[in-house]
Amino acid sequence: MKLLRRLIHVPEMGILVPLVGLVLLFGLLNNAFLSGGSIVAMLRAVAFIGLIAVAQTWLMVAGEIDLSVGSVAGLSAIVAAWTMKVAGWPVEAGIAAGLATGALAGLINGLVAVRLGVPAFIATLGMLYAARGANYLICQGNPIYPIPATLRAVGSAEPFGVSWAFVALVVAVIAGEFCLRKTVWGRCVYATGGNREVARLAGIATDRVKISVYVLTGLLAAGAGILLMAQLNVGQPEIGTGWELDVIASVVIGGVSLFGGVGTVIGTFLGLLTMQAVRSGLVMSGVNTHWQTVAVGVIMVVAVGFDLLRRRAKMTVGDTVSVNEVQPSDGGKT
Amino acid sequence: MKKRWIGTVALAAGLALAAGCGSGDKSGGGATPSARKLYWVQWMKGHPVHQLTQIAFREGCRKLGYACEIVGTDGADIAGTIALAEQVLSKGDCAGMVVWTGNPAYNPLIARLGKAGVPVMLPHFLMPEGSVPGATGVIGCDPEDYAREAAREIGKAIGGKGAVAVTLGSFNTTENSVAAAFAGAMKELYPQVRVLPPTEEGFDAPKAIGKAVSLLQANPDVVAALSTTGGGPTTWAGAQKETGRKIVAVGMDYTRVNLDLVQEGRVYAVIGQPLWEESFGAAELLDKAIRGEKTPWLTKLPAPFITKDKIAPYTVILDQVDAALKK
Repeated sequence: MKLLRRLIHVPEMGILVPLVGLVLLFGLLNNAFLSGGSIVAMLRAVAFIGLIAVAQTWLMVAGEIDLSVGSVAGLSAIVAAWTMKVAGWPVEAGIAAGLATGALAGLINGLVAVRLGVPAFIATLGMLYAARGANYLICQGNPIYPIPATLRAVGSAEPFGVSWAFVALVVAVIAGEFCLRKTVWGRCVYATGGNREVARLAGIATDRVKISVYVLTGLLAAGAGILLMAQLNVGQPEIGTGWELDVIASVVIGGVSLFGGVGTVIGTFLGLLTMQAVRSGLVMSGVNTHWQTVAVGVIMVVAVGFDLLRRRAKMTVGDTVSVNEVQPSDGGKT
Repeated sequence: MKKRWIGTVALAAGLALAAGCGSGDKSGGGATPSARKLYWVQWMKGHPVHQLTQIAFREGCRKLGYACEIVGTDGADIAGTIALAEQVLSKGDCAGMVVWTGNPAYNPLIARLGKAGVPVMLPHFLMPEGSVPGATGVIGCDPEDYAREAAREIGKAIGGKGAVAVTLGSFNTTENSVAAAFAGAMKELYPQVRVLPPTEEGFDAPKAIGKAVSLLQANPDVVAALSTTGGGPTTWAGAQKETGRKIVAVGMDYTRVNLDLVQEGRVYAVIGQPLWEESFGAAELLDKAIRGEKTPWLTKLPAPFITKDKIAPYTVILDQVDAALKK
């Protein structure tokens, strides 16, 4: 009973169990699913969305949401490619320009949503369109190709048998989880998302916290876009199209509440892996391609439903644990 | 005061509507004798492949002495594109129109133009005669032809053995027919080759590569792949790199990225849909129709299988596109 209670209190258990179940199922259906090559391919595939999902986790824990991440990733990649290839800037300056573009977009999102009070959904939806339009204004819809050899080398390198993008994701997950759980800033993010008014009365500069998370989200979106550009060896205007939905799906599957105050970066990472395991597993199992899309939707709902059941069970089995005790150690799940 | 304002606005709106309808009827009732403008209607107008077609059309118009205008939405929005096309018609200067579609949603617009005596060409999608009332003709390559050619070339390259994966950008009339024709031709020409059921790769490169990798790992006998979309060469080059397996990969479209992948040997070939020729040709056919010459319903163009040794002419076309873009 004690062990069950402990397991139920592990916030990531809600997504870990379905993930392990799915991996075992797909492994049984096709041995190749658990081969080294297959696992590496899955890890590489989640890297770009994953980087953004880390930041989106912070943002949603803070009670906000950013729908513009895909467009900002695309715009940042195009700005970086354009400055390097057309304007002739050095690679480092081009990358800095791309990252600055992402951070600026995040800052604008933050100011509009937090300071002007425009709902985040609308503010970032506006940025989604504006960034995509700016992207096409810069490149006129044409790929910027080829990108400088230095960047190409980064994109094609395989550190530790994976990619730099995946290495960046691992660093972001570890750092992101640490910051969220163990730093004052992280506690402020949880408090702001949990109850903004209480947080404000407790002396937390909630506006500043939220804006900082928006900026970080823009920055990581830019990083993801630039890393994908390096891997593809082309500044493709379509980079990031539709990423926002995958990012939000991963974050929600990972147990982050849409209402703020609850969630962990590790949970999001497991959510990402679940999405990818489903996608790859269904392809490898030879499931009809149309059923694959249906299955992704169903499994997403089932995974979130399982997490809800776990939380209810936790409330039944669990003894009295105060909110303050729980938040820093288990991602704010109460 | 307020009521007077509302009345004035309503009157102005009514007059504007009447004027709009009038001019719409005028264009709908046939282009004015002085109208020399050709319109190109296409959704996702910023897409790189679509831009190439627009540049070719503009070149055609320039050569023939027509003004031209591109009309369409940035996204995949059929209703929005049709609305924009309807709007430009109200200007009354439409001498002819090219509509980039294989979708029957455009049929009422085309029928209206046809009734008004405005010639309408449909490039790229070879619709059967009579299926689009009001259209003057279609120009492009036959997807089933190049699918058969791909089956022949891929079968030859793999020695008539093994399995071939087929991936689609999305399920649509053209890509479905390519996949079906490819499988049929392979069965007929190389019965020992197994063709996997088509899989949707989508348009997001990391996801597409992930799916292609899964296909390769789940099917160790896959020795070749056909992608029916322009992103396919990148997808399969990426999948080969990630799995360390060398296969005969074939994709669509002679973009610079794709031609370089062929040149580097990372992709075996691309199928060169005659994007430039069909778009330029659409302007020429419209011109003929406007001058009262008879034009055929179907103008069929070849879609060559471009291997490493056949790249040169296509880089010339791309140079032309770059030059046109710089203007």
